[in-house]
Amino acid sequence: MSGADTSHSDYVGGLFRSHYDWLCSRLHRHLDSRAHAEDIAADTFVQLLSSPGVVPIRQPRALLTTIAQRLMYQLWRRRDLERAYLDALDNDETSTAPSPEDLAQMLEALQAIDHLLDGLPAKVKATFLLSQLNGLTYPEIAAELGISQRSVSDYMARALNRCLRLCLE
Amino acid sequence: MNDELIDTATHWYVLLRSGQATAADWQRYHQWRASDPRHEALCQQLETRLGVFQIPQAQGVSGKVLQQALDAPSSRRQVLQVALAGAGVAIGAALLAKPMGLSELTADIRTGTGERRTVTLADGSELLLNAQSAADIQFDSQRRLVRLREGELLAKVASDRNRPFQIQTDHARLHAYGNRFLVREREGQGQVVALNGAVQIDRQDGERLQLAAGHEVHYGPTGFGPVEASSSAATAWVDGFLQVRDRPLAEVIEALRPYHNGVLRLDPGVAGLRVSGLYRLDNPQQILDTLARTLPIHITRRTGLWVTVSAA
Repeated sequence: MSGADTSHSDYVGGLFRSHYDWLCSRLHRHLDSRAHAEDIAADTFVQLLSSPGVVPIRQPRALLTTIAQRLMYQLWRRRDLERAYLDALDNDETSTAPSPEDLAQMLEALQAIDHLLDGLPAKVKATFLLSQLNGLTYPEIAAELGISQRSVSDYMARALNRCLRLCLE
Repeated sequence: MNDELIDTATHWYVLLRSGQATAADWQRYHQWRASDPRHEALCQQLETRLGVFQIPQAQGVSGKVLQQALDAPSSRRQVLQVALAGAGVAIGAALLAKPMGLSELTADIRTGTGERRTVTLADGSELLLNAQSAADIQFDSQRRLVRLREGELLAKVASDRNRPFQIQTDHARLHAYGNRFLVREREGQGQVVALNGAVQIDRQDGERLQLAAGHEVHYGPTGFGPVEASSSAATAWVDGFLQVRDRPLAEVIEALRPYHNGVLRLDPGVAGLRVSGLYRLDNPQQILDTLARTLPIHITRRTGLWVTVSAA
Protein backbone atom coordinates (compact mmCIF):
# COMPACT_ATOMS: atom_id res chain seq x y z
CA MET A 1 0.00 0.00 0.00
CA SER A 2 1.37 3.42 -0.92
CA GLY A 3 1.77 6.26 1.54
CA ALA A 4 -1.12 8.14 0.01
CA ASP A 5 -3.46 5.16 0.47
CA THR A 6 -2.45 4.78 4.09
CA SER A 7 -3.10 8.42 4.85
CA HIS A 8 -6.49 8.23 3.14
CA SER A 9 -7.57 5.24 5.19
CA ASP A 10 -6.24 6.93 8.33
CA TYR A 11 -8.25 9.96 7.42
CA VAL A 12 -11.44 7.93 6.82
CA GLY A 13 -10.75 6.05 10.05
CA GLY A 14 -10.66 9.35 11.91
CA LEU A 15 -13.95 10.43 10.31
CA PHE A 16 -15.44 7.08 11.22
CA ARG A 17 -14.53 7.47 14.90
CA SER A 18 -15.88 10.99 15.16
CA HIS A 19 -19.01 10.76 13.00
CA TYR A 20 -20.23 7.15 12.78
CA ASP A 21 -22.60 7.35 15.78
CA TRP A 22 -23.91 10.69 14.64
CA LEU A 23 -24.61 9.34 11.15
CA CYS A 24 -26.33 6.22 12.52
CA SER A 25 -28.70 8.19 14.70
CA ARG A 26 -29.42 10.64 11.92
CA LEU A 27 -30.21 7.81 9.49
CA HIS A 28 -32.20 5.88 12.02
CA ARG A 29 -34.80 8.65 12.09
CA HIS A 30 -35.58 7.80 8.47
CA LEU A 31 -35.22 4.03 8.37
CA ASP A 32 -37.44 1.42 9.94
CA SER A 33 -34.68 -0.51 11.62
CA ARG A 34 -31.46 0.38 13.36
CA ALA A 35 -29.69 -2.44 11.50
CA HIS A 36 -30.50 -0.75 8.19
CA ALA A 37 -29.29 2.60 9.50
CA GLU A 38 -26.02 1.06 10.61
CA ASP A 39 -25.62 -0.81 7.32
CA ILE A 40 -26.06 2.39 5.35
CA ALA A 41 -23.76 4.33 7.68
CA ALA A 42 -21.08 1.67 7.39
CA ASP A 43 -21.50 1.50 3.62
CA THR A 44 -21.04 5.27 3.48
CA PHE A 45 -17.59 4.96 5.03
CA VAL A 46 -16.68 2.03 2.82
CA GLN A 47 -17.52 4.12 -0.24
CA LEU A 48 -15.41 6.95 1.06
CA LEU A 49 -12.60 4.51 1.75
CA SER A 50 -12.66 3.32 -1.86
CA SER A 51 -12.50 6.88 -3.22
CA PRO A 52 -9.04 8.24 -2.38
CA GLY A 53 -9.70 11.27 -4.60
CA VAL A 54 -12.40 12.60 -2.32
CA VAL A 55 -11.05 14.39 0.73
CA PRO A 56 -13.60 16.65 2.38
CA ILE A 57 -11.77 18.85 4.83
CA ARG A 58 -14.20 21.48 5.91
CA GLN A 59 -17.60 19.83 6.03
CA PRO A 60 -17.20 16.09 6.47
CA ARG A 61 -20.74 15.69 7.81
CA ALA A 62 -22.19 17.30 4.70
CA LEU A 63 -20.30 14.87 2.49
CA LEU A 64 -21.26 11.86 4.65
CA THR A 65 -24.90 12.93 4.53
CA THR A 66 -24.80 13.20 0.76
CA ILE A 67 -23.31 9.75 0.29
CA ALA A 68 -25.66 8.18 2.83
CA GLN A 69 -28.63 9.86 1.20
CA ARG A 70 -27.73 8.39 -2.20
CA LEU A 71 -27.32 4.92 -0.69
CA MET A 72 -30.64 5.22 1.06
CA TYR A 73 -32.42 6.27 -2.13
CA GLN A 74 -30.98 3.25 -3.88
CA LEU A 75 -32.15 0.93 -1.12
CA TRP A 76 -35.65 2.38 -1.04
CA ARG A 77 -36.00 2.50 -4.78
CA ARG A 78 -34.93 -1.13 -5.03
CA ARG A 79 -37.61 -2.11 -2.51
CA ASP A 80 -40.27 0.05 -4.20
CA LEU A 81 -39.48 -1.50 -7.58
CA GLU A 82 -39.56 -5.03 -6.23
CA ARG A 83 -42.90 -4.53 -4.54
CA ALA A 84 -44.43 -2.81 -7.56
CA TYR A 85 -43.14 -5.50 -9.93
CA LEU A 86 -44.57 -8.34 -7.83
CA ASP A 87 -47.86 -6.45 -7.58
CA ALA A 88 -47.95 -5.86 -11.33
CA LEU A 89 -47.34 -9.56 -12.00
CA ASP A 90 -49.96 -10.47 -9.43
CA ASN A 91 -52.56 -8.32 -11.19
CA ASP A 92 -51.65 -9.48 -14.66
CA GLU A 93 -53.55 -12.64 -15.51
CA THR A 94 -51.34 -13.65 -18.40
CA SER A 95 -48.15 -13.63 -16.31
CA THR A 96 -46.79 -16.83 -14.89
CA ALA A 97 -44.75 -17.14 -11.73
CA PRO A 98 -41.05 -16.35 -12.22
CA SER A 99 -38.41 -18.69 -10.86
CA PRO A 100 -36.24 -17.23 -8.09
CA GLU A 101 -33.36 -16.87 -10.57
CA ASP A 102 -35.55 -15.08 -13.10
CA LEU A 103 -36.90 -12.81 -10.40
CA ALA A 104 -33.43 -11.85 -9.17
CA GLN A 105 -32.25 -11.18 -12.73
CA MET A 106 -35.35 -9.19 -13.50
CA LEU A 107 -35.03 -7.00 -10.40
CA GLU A 108 -31.50 -6.12 -11.41
CA ALA A 109 -32.66 -5.25 -14.93
CA LEU A 110 -35.53 -3.21 -13.50
CA GLN A 111 -33.10 -1.07 -11.56
CA ALA A 112 -31.02 -0.43 -14.66
CA ILE A 113 -34.11 0.41 -16.74
CA ASP A 114 -35.43 2.62 -13.95
CA HIS A 115 -32.20 4.58 -14.02
CA LEU A 116 -32.23 4.72 -17.83
CA LEU A 117 -35.73 6.22 -17.98
CA ASP A 118 -35.64 8.14 -14.71
CA GLY A 119 -37.36 11.51 -14.87
CA LEU A 120 -39.22 10.89 -18.13
CA PRO A 121 -43.02 11.41 -18.08
CA ALA A 122 -45.19 8.28 -17.89
CA LYS A 123 -46.42 8.61 -21.50
CA VAL A 124 -42.85 8.86 -22.77
CA LYS A 125 -41.90 5.72 -20.83
CA ALA A 126 -44.98 3.87 -22.08
CA THR A 127 -44.18 4.81 -25.68
CA PHE A 128 -40.57 3.77 -25.41
CA LEU A 129 -41.38 0.44 -23.72
CA LEU A 130 -43.91 -0.49 -26.40
CA SER A 131 -41.29 0.20 -29.07
CA GLN A 132 -38.31 -1.33 -27.28
CA LEU A 133 -39.95 -4.31 -25.64
CA ASN A 134 -42.88 -5.16 -27.87
CA GLY A 135 -41.37 -3.92 -31.15
CA LEU A 136 -44.50 -1.96 -32.11
CA THR A 137 -44.39 0.56 -34.99
CA TYR A 138 -45.39 4.17 -34.40
CA PRO A 139 -48.90 3.80 -35.88
CA GLU A 140 -49.43 0.77 -33.61
CA ILE A 141 -48.19 2.66 -30.54
CA ALA A 142 -50.38 5.65 -31.43
CA ALA A 143 -53.43 3.37 -31.61
CA GLU A 144 -52.50 1.54 -28.41
CA LEU A 145 -52.03 4.70 -26.33
CA GLY A 146 -54.64 6.85 -28.08
CA ILE A 147 -52.18 9.57 -29.05
CA SER A 148 -51.07 11.03 -32.38
CA GLN A 149 -48.19 9.59 -34.40
CA ARG A 150 -46.55 12.97 -34.09
CA SER A 151 -46.55 12.58 -30.27
CA VAL A 152 -45.13 9.07 -30.58
CA SER A 153 -42.19 10.46 -32.60
CA ASP A 154 -41.66 13.26 -30.08
CA TYR A 155 -41.79 10.89 -27.12
CA MET A 156 -39.39 8.46 -28.79
CA ALA A 157 -37.00 11.34 -29.43
CA ARG A 158 -37.09 12.36 -25.76
CA ALA A 159 -36.46 8.83 -24.49
CA LEU A 160 -33.68 8.10 -27.00
CA ASN A 161 -32.11 11.47 -26.34
CA ARG A 162 -31.87 10.67 -22.63
CA CYS A 163 -30.39 7.20 -23.27
CA LEU A 164 -27.80 8.66 -25.64
CA ARG A 165 -26.88 11.36 -23.13
CA LEU A 166 -26.30 8.72 -20.45
CA CYS A 167 -23.96 6.94 -22.88
CA LEU A 168 -21.73 10.01 -23.09
CA GLU A 169 -21.67 10.75 -19.35
CA MET B 1 -20.27 19.11 -30.27
CA ASN B 2 -21.77 16.36 -28.17
CA ASP B 3 -25.22 17.94 -28.40
CA GLU B 4 -25.04 17.89 -32.16
CA LEU B 5 -23.93 14.27 -32.18
CA ILE B 6 -26.72 13.25 -29.81
CA ASP B 7 -29.32 15.11 -31.84
CA THR B 8 -28.22 13.43 -35.07
CA ALA B 9 -28.16 10.00 -33.45
CA THR B 10 -31.61 10.61 -31.91
CA HIS B 11 -32.92 11.56 -35.33
CA TRP B 12 -31.64 8.31 -36.87
CA TYR B 13 -33.05 6.06 -34.16
CA VAL B 14 -36.44 7.77 -34.18
CA LEU B 15 -36.65 7.16 -37.92
CA LEU B 16 -35.41 3.57 -37.88
CA ARG B 17 -37.85 2.46 -35.19
CA SER B 18 -40.91 4.03 -36.76
CA GLY B 19 -41.70 1.00 -38.89
CA GLN B 20 -41.58 3.26 -41.95
CA ALA B 21 -37.84 3.39 -42.63
CA THR B 22 -36.90 2.37 -46.16
CA ALA B 23 -33.89 0.35 -47.30
CA ALA B 24 -32.34 3.63 -48.43
CA ASP B 25 -32.78 5.06 -44.90
CA TRP B 26 -30.96 2.08 -43.41
CA GLN B 27 -28.15 2.46 -45.95
CA ARG B 28 -27.69 6.15 -45.13
CA TYR B 29 -27.73 5.35 -41.41
CA HIS B 30 -24.94 2.77 -41.84
CA GLN B 31 -22.93 5.28 -43.87
CA TRP B 32 -23.34 7.91 -41.13
CA ARG B 33 -22.40 5.42 -38.45
CA ALA B 34 -19.23 4.34 -40.27
CA SER B 35 -18.18 7.88 -41.22
CA ASP B 36 -16.72 8.75 -37.80
CA PRO B 37 -15.36 6.52 -34.98
CA ARG B 38 -17.31 8.60 -32.46
CA HIS B 39 -20.57 7.78 -34.25
CA GLU B 40 -19.69 4.10 -34.19
CA ALA B 41 -18.71 4.27 -30.49
CA LEU B 42 -21.92 6.03 -29.50
CA CYS B 43 -24.11 3.56 -31.41
CA GLN B 44 -22.33 0.66 -29.76
CA GLN B 45 -22.75 2.20 -26.32
CA LEU B 46 -26.46 2.69 -26.89
CA GLU B 47 -26.84 -0.92 -28.01
CA THR B 48 -25.05 -2.05 -24.85
CA ARG B 49 -27.26 0.12 -22.64
CA LEU B 50 -30.42 -1.14 -24.28
CA GLY B 51 -29.18 -4.72 -23.97
CA VAL B 52 -30.72 -4.76 -20.49
CA PHE B 53 -34.14 -5.09 -22.16
CA GLN B 54 -33.21 -8.59 -23.26
CA ILE B 55 -33.96 -9.80 -19.75
CA PRO B 56 -37.66 -8.82 -19.65
CA GLN B 57 -37.92 -9.92 -23.29
CA ALA B 58 -36.51 -13.36 -22.52
CA GLN B 59 -38.86 -13.70 -19.56
CA GLY B 60 -41.87 -12.62 -21.60
CA VAL B 61 -42.58 -9.63 -19.38
CA SER B 62 -44.96 -7.25 -21.14
CA GLY B 63 -44.40 -3.52 -21.52
CA LYS B 64 -47.48 -2.94 -19.38
CA VAL B 65 -46.16 -4.91 -16.39
CA LEU B 66 -42.78 -3.22 -16.71
CA GLN B 67 -44.40 0.20 -16.83
CA GLN B 68 -46.42 -0.52 -13.69
CA ALA B 69 -43.26 -1.53 -11.85
CA LEU B 70 -41.40 1.58 -12.98
CA ASP B 71 -44.31 3.74 -11.89
CA ALA B 72 -43.66 2.61 -8.30
CA PRO B 73 -44.04 5.71 -6.15
CA SER B 74 -41.02 6.77 -4.13
CA SER B 75 -42.93 8.37 -1.32
CA ARG B 76 -40.34 8.00 1.40
CA ARG B 77 -37.71 9.51 -0.82
CA GLN B 78 -39.55 12.81 -0.75
CA VAL B 79 -39.79 12.68 3.03
CA LEU B 80 -36.05 12.25 3.24
CA GLN B 81 -35.30 14.93 0.70
CA VAL B 82 -37.10 17.43 2.89
CA ALA B 83 -35.55 16.13 6.09
CA LEU B 84 -31.98 16.16 4.91
CA ALA B 85 -32.12 19.28 2.78
CA GLY B 86 -29.44 21.77 3.54
CA ALA B 87 -26.75 19.41 4.71
CA GLY B 88 -25.69 18.15 1.30
CA VAL B 89 -22.80 19.09 -0.98
CA ALA B 90 -22.44 17.93 -4.56
CA ILE B 91 -20.08 15.05 -5.28
CA GLY B 92 -19.35 13.06 -8.42
CA ALA B 93 -21.40 10.03 -9.35
CA ALA B 94 -18.23 7.99 -9.86
CA LEU B 95 -17.80 7.86 -6.12
CA LEU B 96 -20.91 5.75 -5.81
CA ALA B 97 -20.20 3.36 -8.62
CA LYS B 98 -19.02 0.33 -6.64
CA PRO B 99 -20.74 -0.60 -3.40
CA MET B 100 -18.69 -2.92 -1.23
CA GLY B 101 -19.38 -5.30 1.65
CA LEU B 102 -19.81 -4.05 5.16
CA SER B 103 -18.09 -6.76 7.12
CA GLU B 104 -15.05 -4.60 7.79
CA LEU B 105 -16.95 -2.04 9.72
CA THR B 106 -19.70 -3.84 11.58
CA ALA B 107 -19.08 -6.21 14.46
CA ASP B 108 -22.22 -8.08 15.45
CA ILE B 109 -24.01 -11.37 15.79
CA ARG B 110 -26.59 -11.91 13.13
CA THR B 111 -28.89 -14.76 12.18
CA GLY B 112 -30.41 -15.23 8.74
CA THR B 113 -33.80 -16.48 7.62
CA GLY B 114 -34.72 -19.68 9.41
CA GLU B 115 -31.51 -19.69 11.42
CA ARG B 116 -31.25 -19.88 15.23
CA ARG B 117 -27.94 -19.52 17.00
CA THR B 118 -26.53 -19.81 20.51
CA VAL B 119 -23.61 -17.56 21.43
CA THR B 120 -21.58 -17.83 24.62
CA LEU B 121 -20.30 -14.45 25.82
CA ALA B 122 -17.01 -13.63 27.57
CA ASP B 123 -18.62 -13.70 31.04
CA GLY B 124 -20.21 -17.11 30.47
CA SER B 125 -23.68 -15.71 29.70
CA GLU B 126 -25.52 -17.21 26.75
CA LEU B 127 -27.62 -15.56 24.09
CA LEU B 128 -30.01 -17.58 21.93
CA LEU B 129 -30.93 -15.61 18.83
CA ASN B 130 -34.10 -16.36 16.92
CA ALA B 131 -34.12 -16.12 13.10
CA GLN B 132 -33.48 -12.73 11.45
CA SER B 133 -32.06 -11.16 14.57
CA ALA B 134 -28.95 -9.10 15.20
CA ALA B 135 -27.13 -7.93 18.32
CA ASP B 136 -23.96 -6.11 19.34
CA ILE B 137 -21.98 -7.01 22.46
CA GLN B 138 -20.59 -4.01 24.34
CA PHE B 139 -19.05 -5.22 27.58
CA ASP B 140 -16.79 -3.02 29.68
CA SER B 141 -15.66 -2.83 33.30
CA GLN B 142 -18.86 -1.06 34.39
CA ARG B 143 -21.58 -3.09 32.74
CA ARG B 144 -22.50 -5.82 30.32
CA LEU B 145 -24.52 -4.22 27.55
CA VAL B 146 -26.09 -6.11 24.65
CA ARG B 147 -27.65 -4.03 21.91
CA LEU B 148 -30.51 -5.88 20.24
CA ARG B 149 -30.65 -4.25 16.85
CA GLU B 150 -33.50 -6.33 15.55
CA GLY B 151 -35.37 -9.50 16.30
CA GLU B 152 -35.57 -11.75 19.32
CA LEU B 153 -33.25 -13.32 21.84
CA LEU B 154 -33.33 -15.35 25.01
CA ALA B 155 -30.65 -14.34 27.52
CA LYS B 156 -29.21 -16.72 30.11
CA VAL B 157 -27.26 -14.38 32.33
CA ALA B 158 -24.15 -15.46 34.25
CA SER B 159 -23.87 -13.98 37.72
CA ASP B 160 -21.60 -10.96 38.15
CA ARG B 161 -22.26 -8.70 41.16
CA ASN B 162 -20.15 -5.85 39.86
CA ARG B 163 -21.45 -5.49 36.34
CA PRO B 164 -25.18 -5.25 35.64
CA PHE B 165 -26.52 -7.03 32.56
CA GLN B 166 -28.53 -4.77 30.28
CA ILE B 167 -30.16 -5.04 26.90
CA GLN B 168 -30.73 -1.94 24.81
CA THR B 169 -33.28 -2.11 21.98
CA ASP B 170 -34.43 0.68 19.69
CA HIS B 171 -37.24 1.61 22.05
CA ALA B 172 -36.39 0.26 25.49
CA ARG B 173 -33.64 -0.61 27.95
CA LEU B 174 -33.84 -3.80 30.00
CA HIS B 175 -32.07 -4.42 33.26
CA ALA B 176 -31.94 -8.06 34.33
CA TYR B 177 -32.23 -9.08 37.97
CA GLY B 178 -32.78 -12.74 37.30
CA ASN B 179 -30.90 -15.05 35.01
CA ARG B 180 -33.32 -15.89 32.21
CA PHE B 181 -35.47 -13.59 30.16
CA LEU B 182 -36.63 -13.08 26.61
CA VAL B 183 -36.95 -9.95 24.54
CA ARG B 184 -38.28 -9.34 21.05
CA GLU B 185 -38.60 -6.11 19.13
CA ARG B 186 -39.57 -5.77 15.51
CA GLU B 187 -40.75 -2.59 13.84
CA GLY B 188 -41.37 -0.80 17.11
CA GLN B 189 -43.41 -3.59 18.70
CA GLY B 190 -41.74 -5.31 21.61
CA GLN B 191 -42.32 -8.16 24.04
CA VAL B 192 -40.45 -9.06 27.22
CA VAL B 193 -40.86 -12.30 29.17
CA ALA B 194 -39.27 -12.57 32.63
CA LEU B 195 -38.67 -16.29 32.95
CA ASN B 196 -36.59 -16.41 36.09
CA GLY B 197 -36.17 -13.28 38.20
CA ALA B 198 -37.45 -9.79 37.54
CA VAL B 199 -36.68 -7.51 34.62
CA GLN B 200 -36.83 -3.73 34.79
CA ILE B 201 -37.96 -2.14 31.52
CA ASP B 202 -37.41 1.53 30.74
CA ARG B 203 -39.24 2.67 27.64
CA GLN B 204 -37.69 5.37 25.53
CA ASP B 205 -40.06 8.08 26.74
CA GLY B 206 -39.21 7.43 30.39
CA GLU B 207 -42.00 5.04 31.40
CA ARG B 208 -40.69 2.26 33.67
CA LEU B 209 -42.08 -1.17 34.49
CA GLN B 210 -40.84 -3.81 36.93
CA LEU B 211 -41.80 -7.14 35.39
CA ALA B 212 -41.92 -9.92 37.98
CA ALA B 213 -40.72 -13.43 37.21
CA GLY B 214 -43.23 -15.56 35.36
CA HIS B 215 -44.83 -12.59 33.64
CA GLU B 216 -44.77 -11.08 30.18
CA VAL B 217 -45.66 -7.74 28.67
CA HIS B 218 -45.96 -6.22 25.20
CA TYR B 219 -44.97 -2.66 24.46
CA GLY B 220 -45.24 -0.28 21.55
CA PRO B 221 -44.63 3.37 20.74
CA THR B 222 -47.53 4.46 22.97
CA GLY B 223 -46.81 2.45 26.10
CA PHE B 224 -46.95 -0.92 27.83
CA GLY B 225 -49.76 -3.41 27.31
CA PRO B 226 -51.27 -5.36 30.23
CA VAL B 227 -48.89 -7.58 32.26
CA GLU B 228 -49.90 -11.21 31.92
CA ALA B 229 -48.72 -14.51 33.35
CA SER B 230 -46.23 -15.94 30.88
CA SER B 231 -46.95 -19.14 29.00
CA SER B 232 -44.50 -21.59 27.52
CA ALA B 233 -45.54 -20.34 24.07
CA ALA B 234 -43.16 -17.37 24.12
CA THR B 235 -40.07 -19.55 24.39
CA ALA B 236 -41.22 -22.46 22.23
CA TRP B 237 -39.04 -21.20 19.35
CA VAL B 238 -35.96 -22.08 21.39
CA ASP B 239 -36.86 -25.72 20.78
CA GLY B 240 -37.91 -25.05 17.20
CA PHE B 241 -41.65 -24.87 17.79
CA LEU B 242 -44.36 -22.34 17.26
CA GLN B 243 -46.97 -22.71 19.97
CA VAL B 244 -50.22 -20.75 19.86
CA ARG B 245 -53.47 -20.94 21.75
CA ASP B 246 -56.37 -18.91 20.46
CA ARG B 247 -54.25 -16.20 18.85
CA PRO B 248 -55.02 -14.18 15.69
CA LEU B 249 -53.64 -15.52 12.40
CA ALA B 250 -51.73 -12.24 11.95
CA GLU B 251 -49.59 -13.09 14.98
CA VAL B 252 -48.79 -16.55 13.60
CA ILE B 253 -47.77 -15.04 10.25
CA GLU B 254 -45.54 -12.51 12.05
CA ALA B 255 -43.82 -15.35 13.88
CA LEU B 256 -43.29 -17.18 10.58
CA ARG B 257 -41.78 -14.22 8.74
CA PRO B 258 -38.26 -14.69 10.12
CA TYR B 259 -38.44 -18.26 8.80
CA HIS B 260 -39.85 -17.45 5.39
CA ASN B 261 -37.55 -16.46 2.58
CA GLY B 262 -39.32 -13.88 0.43
CA VAL B 263 -42.66 -12.12 0.36
CA LEU B 264 -45.37 -13.37 2.71
CA ARG B 265 -48.64 -11.49 2.29
CA LEU B 266 -51.65 -11.74 4.55
CA ASP B 267 -55.09 -10.62 3.41
CA PRO B 268 -56.42 -8.34 6.21
CA GLY B 269 -59.79 -10.06 5.80
CA VAL B 270 -58.45 -13.25 7.40
CA ALA B 271 -55.88 -11.69 9.77
CA GLY B 272 -58.24 -11.95 12.75
CA LEU B 273 -59.02 -15.69 12.43
CA ARG B 274 -58.19 -17.50 15.68
CA VAL B 275 -55.51 -20.17 15.64
CA SER B 276 -54.40 -22.83 18.10
CA GLY B 277 -51.73 -25.44 17.61
CA LEU B 278 -48.15 -26.57 17.92
CA TYR B 279 -46.05 -26.37 14.75
CA ARG B 280 -42.48 -27.12 13.73
CA LEU B 281 -40.90 -23.77 12.81
CA ASP B 282 -38.31 -25.23 10.50
CA ASN B 283 -40.85 -25.85 7.77
CA PRO B 284 -42.95 -22.70 7.40
CA GLN B 285 -44.46 -23.90 4.11
CA GLN B 286 -45.85 -26.95 5.87
CA ILE B 287 -47.29 -24.80 8.65
CA LEU B 288 -49.15 -22.74 6.03
CA ASP B 289 -50.49 -25.91 4.43
CA THR B 290 -51.63 -27.19 7.81
CA LEU B 291 -53.36 -23.90 8.57
CA ALA B 292 -55.10 -24.04 5.19
CA ARG B 293 -56.59 -27.41 6.11
CA THR B 294 -58.13 -26.12 9.33
CA LEU B 295 -59.01 -22.50 8.49
CA PRO B 296 -61.10 -20.93 5.70
CA ILE B 297 -57.97 -19.64 3.96
CA HIS B 298 -56.28 -20.21 0.65
CA ILE B 299 -52.50 -20.23 0.09
CA THR B 300 -51.30 -18.94 -3.30
CA ARG B 301 -47.68 -19.56 -4.25
CA ARG B 302 -46.19 -17.69 -7.19
CA THR B 303 -42.82 -19.09 -6.37
CA GLY B 304 -41.54 -20.32 -3.05
CA LEU B 305 -40.46 -16.73 -2.57
CA TRP B 306 -43.84 -15.21 -2.84
CA VAL B 307 -46.79 -16.49 -0.86
CA THR B 308 -50.22 -14.96 -0.35
CA VAL B 309 -52.62 -16.04 2.39
CA SER B 310 -56.18 -15.02 1.53
CA ALA B 311 -59.79 -16.00 2.16
CA ALA B 312 -60.73 -19.39 0.73
